Amino acid sequence: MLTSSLTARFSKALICLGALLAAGSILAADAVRYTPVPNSSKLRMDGTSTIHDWHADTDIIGGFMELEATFADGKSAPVSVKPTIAVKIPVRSLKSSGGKRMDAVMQEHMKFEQFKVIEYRVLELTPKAGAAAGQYEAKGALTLAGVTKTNMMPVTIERVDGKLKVTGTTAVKMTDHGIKPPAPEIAGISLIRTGDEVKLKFEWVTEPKAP
Amino acid sequence: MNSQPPSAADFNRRDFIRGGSIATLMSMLGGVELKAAEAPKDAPAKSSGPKVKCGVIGLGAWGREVVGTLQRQAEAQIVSLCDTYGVMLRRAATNAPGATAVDDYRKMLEDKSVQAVFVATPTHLHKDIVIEALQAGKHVYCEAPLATTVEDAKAIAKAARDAGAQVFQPGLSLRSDPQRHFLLSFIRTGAIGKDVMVRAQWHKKQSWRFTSANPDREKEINWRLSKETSLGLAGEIGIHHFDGMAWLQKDLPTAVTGFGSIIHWNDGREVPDTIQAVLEFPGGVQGMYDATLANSFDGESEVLLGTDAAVMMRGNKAWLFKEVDSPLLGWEVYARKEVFYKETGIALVANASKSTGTDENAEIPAYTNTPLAFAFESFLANVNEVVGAVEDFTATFDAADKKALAKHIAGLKMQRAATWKEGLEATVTAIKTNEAILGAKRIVLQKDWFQLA
Repeated sequence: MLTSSLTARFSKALICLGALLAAGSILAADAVRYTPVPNSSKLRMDGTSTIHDWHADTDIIGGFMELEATFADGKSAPVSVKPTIAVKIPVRSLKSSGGKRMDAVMQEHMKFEQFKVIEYRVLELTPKAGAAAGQYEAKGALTLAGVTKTNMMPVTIERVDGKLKVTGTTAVKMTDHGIKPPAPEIAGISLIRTGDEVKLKFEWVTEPKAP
Repeated sequence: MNSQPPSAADFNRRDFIRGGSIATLMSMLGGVELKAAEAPKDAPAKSSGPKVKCGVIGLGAWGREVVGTLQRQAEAQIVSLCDTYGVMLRRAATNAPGATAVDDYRKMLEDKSVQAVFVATPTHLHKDIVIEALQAGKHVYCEAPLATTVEDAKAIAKAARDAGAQVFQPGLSLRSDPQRHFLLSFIRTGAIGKDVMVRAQWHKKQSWRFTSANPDREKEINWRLSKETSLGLAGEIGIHHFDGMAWLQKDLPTAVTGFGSIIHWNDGREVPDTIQAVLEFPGGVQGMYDATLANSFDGESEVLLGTDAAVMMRGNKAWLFKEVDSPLLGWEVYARKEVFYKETGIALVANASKSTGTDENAEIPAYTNTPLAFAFESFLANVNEVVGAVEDFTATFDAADKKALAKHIAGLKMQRAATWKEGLEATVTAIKTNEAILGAKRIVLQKDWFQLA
């Protein structure tokens, strides 16, 4: 009888675990899931060319974060964590300062038809030594045009009105992700060559997801 | 048409001086779109977005023009056609192979594959079609005027305003014309001084009457000649000029006086074949307008007169006529000139940078696209923009948050086009001008006629 009771409870636990796995994540007991707040975030991609500087903007930064409830609360000492942070940015939402035609050029070079989103996963968050509270080094995996590269990026994570705001800047080389920098032609002449390096500056606002 | 694209060596000092200025050269190397040669008028534009599946409702003469122009748009695919008259339906279908043909617009609205509809029916039939199309989730292009009554125009405008995630564009095609935008920018620099008056005219000898063996059909196709169903010349033609005047003045008229007569076409019609109107704008600037179906002399033109110069617009061309005491702008010394009735006009062309300057008498080719083509290009681009934005937003955030979605859509950068607001304002101006014409009177225009509650 004891054995069958244990078996029943074990089976029940297995079923619950399976349900959680099916839901896509297993939250630690005190973990909180944060989801993006609409119309509150922004990302700017700054680039250069032989003719003029350019930029592309979006305010759609999707994804989620799962962090301990005490994370960045200003009370607990910051520690290195391996959080679950996944970011997705639709390539189509990036709008260039060069207008519609430059958007089309950008989408073509980022292989939009095949890879519709830019993805970023945080692998590790480490508090920056000697820095103010909320400053971290994020080790992450950035996927552009289907090619994934890891990088290190300083970020600031702070609580603002109950929300978590993540800000940061990083430099990325297009060629590292297999993207050939665009070189549009004018009157049959390749006068414009886009610079390989772009700077990504972002501000991502998330809020605790209602249970 | 250029047969060879120019090379860097072609830009020598002589051409540089003839062609313009530092500003011209810089504009060639900067963000202005350049092409080696102007594409032939009938060639489809290069596509930069997915094809929008379109339906056209109303296949009379103008509806068939809509079909033909849409066919040349790279971002359009005509998948549905509608007209209550089978002959028109079959005639238009030859230009849109593969499109389904229906005799009831509701069948088109039920078709989930149709993303956008173009409403080209008689004006008095617009309201129900447009409102139901918006309710069905379609993007809508509605020919101007929106309606024949202020009440109906407001109903359409309200439905368009409230359809946050859909594109609504009235058929004020000049609002998408790059030449017109270029001219507005030039005028706003103050180059013509203080506005004195604005004139517009439309003269074209034609009947507007169609014949049919069937009396009911004849009445239907001659809706433009009936006071009940038509705003006459003011609504069918004048609306574009009234909108142009308001755009130039950056204000709406405060009053309108009108006159009209049936001078030539005494065939039982109820609307005048010849009209004159004066639109009063704030600051004492008057807009003078005349239109006739009885004479073609001097065709169509708009003239803005200022204390330093006048600008005349005809079709896709424009000229600057300077006063003898006006300040020198500098560039006019090198610009091409034409003589009109002993007045010398300086050509104002938006795409002047395409000239290589090798022949100082060579006419700079103006844009070959029609205002209608530019309007459709903007509409289709905006539809793609909104469709993509809605997909990306709902995939990222809570799809049920309509308010947040509407805020996101409102922040999108759209291609230049008339909105429901300009459509309402121009339609009300046309309605009241027609009313003034029919009553040979002056009407003071109430602000609330132009506004939604």
